[in-house]
Amino acid sequence: MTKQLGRRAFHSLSLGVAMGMGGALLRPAPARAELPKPKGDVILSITGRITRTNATDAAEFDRDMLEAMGMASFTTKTPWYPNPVTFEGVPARAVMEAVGAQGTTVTAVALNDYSTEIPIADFTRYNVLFALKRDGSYMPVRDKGPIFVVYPYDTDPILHSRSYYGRSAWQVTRLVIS
Amino acid sequence: MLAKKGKARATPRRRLAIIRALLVVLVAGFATTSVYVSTLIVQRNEALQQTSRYNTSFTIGQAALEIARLQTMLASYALRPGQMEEEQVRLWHDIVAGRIPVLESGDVGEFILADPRREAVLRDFKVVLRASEAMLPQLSEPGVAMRMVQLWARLNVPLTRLTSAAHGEGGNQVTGDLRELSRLHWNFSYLLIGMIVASFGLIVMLGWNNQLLSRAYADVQKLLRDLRVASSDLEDAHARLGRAMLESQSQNAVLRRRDIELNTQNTRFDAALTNMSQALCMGDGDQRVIVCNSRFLALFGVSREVTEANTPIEELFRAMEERGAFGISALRRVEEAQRQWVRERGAGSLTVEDENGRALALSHRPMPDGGWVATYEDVTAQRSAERRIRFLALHDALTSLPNRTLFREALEKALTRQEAGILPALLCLDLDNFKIVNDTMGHPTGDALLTAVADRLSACVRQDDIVARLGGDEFAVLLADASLEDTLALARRITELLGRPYQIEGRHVVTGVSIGIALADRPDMTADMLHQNADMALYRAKAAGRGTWRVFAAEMEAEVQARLAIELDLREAMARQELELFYQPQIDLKSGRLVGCEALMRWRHPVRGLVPPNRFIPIAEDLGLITAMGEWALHRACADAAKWDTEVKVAVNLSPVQFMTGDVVPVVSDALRQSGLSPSRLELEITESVLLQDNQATLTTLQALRRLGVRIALDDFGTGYSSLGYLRHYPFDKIKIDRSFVMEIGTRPDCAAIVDSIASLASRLGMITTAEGVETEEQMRLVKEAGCTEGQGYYFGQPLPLKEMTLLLYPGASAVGGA
Repeated sequence: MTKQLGRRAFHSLSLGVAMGMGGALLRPAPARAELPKPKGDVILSITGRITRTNATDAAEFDRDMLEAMGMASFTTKTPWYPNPVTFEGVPARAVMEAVGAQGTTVTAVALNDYSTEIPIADFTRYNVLFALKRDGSYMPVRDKGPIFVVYPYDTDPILHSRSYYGRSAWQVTRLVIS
Repeated sequence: MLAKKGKARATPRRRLAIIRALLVVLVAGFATTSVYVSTLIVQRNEALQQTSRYNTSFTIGQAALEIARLQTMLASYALRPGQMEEEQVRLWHDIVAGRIPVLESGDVGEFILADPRREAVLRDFKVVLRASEAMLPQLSEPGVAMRMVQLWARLNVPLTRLTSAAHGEGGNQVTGDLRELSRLHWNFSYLLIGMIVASFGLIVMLGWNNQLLSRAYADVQKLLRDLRVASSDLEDAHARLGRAMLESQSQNAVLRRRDIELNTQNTRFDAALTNMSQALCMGDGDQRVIVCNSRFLALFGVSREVTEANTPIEELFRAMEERGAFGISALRRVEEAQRQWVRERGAGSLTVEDENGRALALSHRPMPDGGWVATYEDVTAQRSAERRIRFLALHDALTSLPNRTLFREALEKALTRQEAGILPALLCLDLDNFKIVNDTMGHPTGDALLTAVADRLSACVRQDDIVARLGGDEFAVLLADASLEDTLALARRITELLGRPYQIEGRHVVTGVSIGIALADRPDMTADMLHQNADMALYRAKAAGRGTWRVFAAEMEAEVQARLAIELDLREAMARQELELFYQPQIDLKSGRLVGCEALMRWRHPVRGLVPPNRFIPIAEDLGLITAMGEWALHRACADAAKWDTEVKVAVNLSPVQFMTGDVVPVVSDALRQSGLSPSRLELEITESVLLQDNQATLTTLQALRRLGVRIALDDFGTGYSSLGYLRHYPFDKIKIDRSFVMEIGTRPDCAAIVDSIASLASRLGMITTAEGVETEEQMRLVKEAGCTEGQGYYFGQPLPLKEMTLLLYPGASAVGGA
């Protein structure tokens, strides 16, 4: 029930983008629309300095497209859950490669408009995940879904700090590369 | 002196021990400090961790913010209800709901649950959320949205208070952390001061230590200097002694080396002498032996005593003659030659051969002191091998006759002696049927036949004439001086002698020979021309039916050229489908009915037109094409005959080659099966030459063909070897009397008698007789009277193409030829 609600919500959120695409039909098609079009609901939209798109100046992904990039997982302690949890999702590095990210910083924007800046260097230094699942189940909006940016906090003591907790945005639906 | 030094050094050693102890204490102090510093750093890290604790007030503030956003969404829905707004309300419910676990977990959770009043706010939050969610389904009803706004508004004040409390708590935490950091800072400072003081102590001690060590070093240096002076005196004396020893040693070594070299040389010289393959003898200026090697003793069979040093050379030779390893005359020649070279102080070599064919090679060299050295070698084997090699190079290995190379030399030599009325003649010979013998009876038989032919051929010629085998079954005879009559007489003799049957390994083998003759009747005749002419004449002889000879005449050349052209075209004829079958009717003489027809091969050449079989069949046999052509004819004839709806038989000729080398039985049964022709309608015609070889295989093949149900006719009977024995041995259905008898039956009584006897013999044996070449009514009548059962010839009908033959087979066919 909750999941469905969430989905419908994304659908309406992506309306703006869809309208933008409608406008694009009148203009010549973008030269480098190399990414396939999403078939399901769009859960992540990436804009900014990217070289590969599938909409006007944006790369949009449904859950299947993200999962097709290859899933990774780790188990870690977090300040948000009493026990260690297992996150499963797409390595952030893979998503950056997929869209041909050119910048150095990603601004992750959450549903509640919380936004945080993450250096792209983090994605290679730490195996940062765009987590879709927690302990084997997809995360609904009520549990920090659809996407939760998580670090493997237990691999480096420095990650258990306010700075990295701050970068760990949840309910993320948009990324802006700059 | 050393003892005194020892006493003096006792004090510094004790001091050094004290310093060492102090250093150990200091190092231990540093180690302790390090451990403590490390503990302090851990503490400091923990303090820093405390300051980086999650920002509680921000998290709670976010909750207040999200609830405010939810209220805004509800309010905007109340103002303007719509699908999009409703979805926004639901989404923000989810977001707000998601905040609750955040507030319950981690530092925020600790903070909230620490105070019952704060816990109450969280409980109220959950209550409001549940109530609001319960109202969601009725959202579209008027007033519900506003009621939800009011519901949520209840939380605004408590949450703001909670945020403020968190903010205050955060401040307290920061102050505590700063105090802790400051305490750590002071601890570090004290420690550093302590370490600086300890380091100063270390420097002072090291300085003291250094001073003690340099004093000890100076003492040792002095002692060393004294020792060095004493030892350099000793070294000088030692060096002088060493030099003297080295000198005497090197003198000794030189002597020893010379001794060894001399020994080695002696041994080598001895080994060389003993092991050399030639016999060696060395003599001095007084003609006495210096040394002889063991090979010498073995070669000449002389005893060791006569070769002792100082034996006169003359005595040595007498002993050699006595032993008789080589003939006396040869040894005398050697002695004589050596005496001559000794007198002249010259060198030389010589090979002598004795009356038994033993050969001795000698090489003599003078030495500066008037002596000499000579080597001797038995070269008998070498010489005979050389002779054998020369023989093999110039003779045929099988027959030992001169080969092409030697024959060519002889021919050229003969041609240079042409003047003075001497007229060389060349005969080129080629065996008939040799290929068949070779293929059917095996190569060993073929080889034996060639050897037998070579023997007979050699027996035919004079001493001066040369017989050669040029390769395969080609032979040649060169008559050094011969008239045309002599040459023809020889050719006749050869044809007759070589044509006689051979008995090889108990088997009866028959072959014949064709001879081409060319005379060197022009002064400018070269060996090549003569050979070419003889070859052309040979072609003619073969074309004339083999077993005969021809003399070259100028016009033959054109003919040979024509034959070569036909050969070239014939190779292509099968592939170009230029071959055809014509059918000649065979008539029953009593009833005049058409009973069969003989299939005859024709070659429709694109330029020459229709070529008759006698022009191309022999060539096809020579070229080895006959097997494939015969097979084609068999298939064609069977296929044609199968289409005729009559009992008329079809006769097909089998070439001897095809019969003996080919797998004729499977080929025939294959042709019958493919065409569907009844075997009894197929007649195979074979010539007598098939039967020439006394061969069990021939009989087996004929019987196998008979078992297929096929009829067999003996073709051209009366020509060639015509043995009535064949008729008894082999299973024939029909005898075809050669046209030569039929043609002269009216004019020559002997011919009539032959036809008559063949026909009556055949009828007694239950065979049919066919007269071939019947051209006139007269001939037809005579052969009928003679008892022939069937006839074939222009009188009855010439060979016809398939289409005309087919016409003939239908109504009115029996009246053909007016018989």
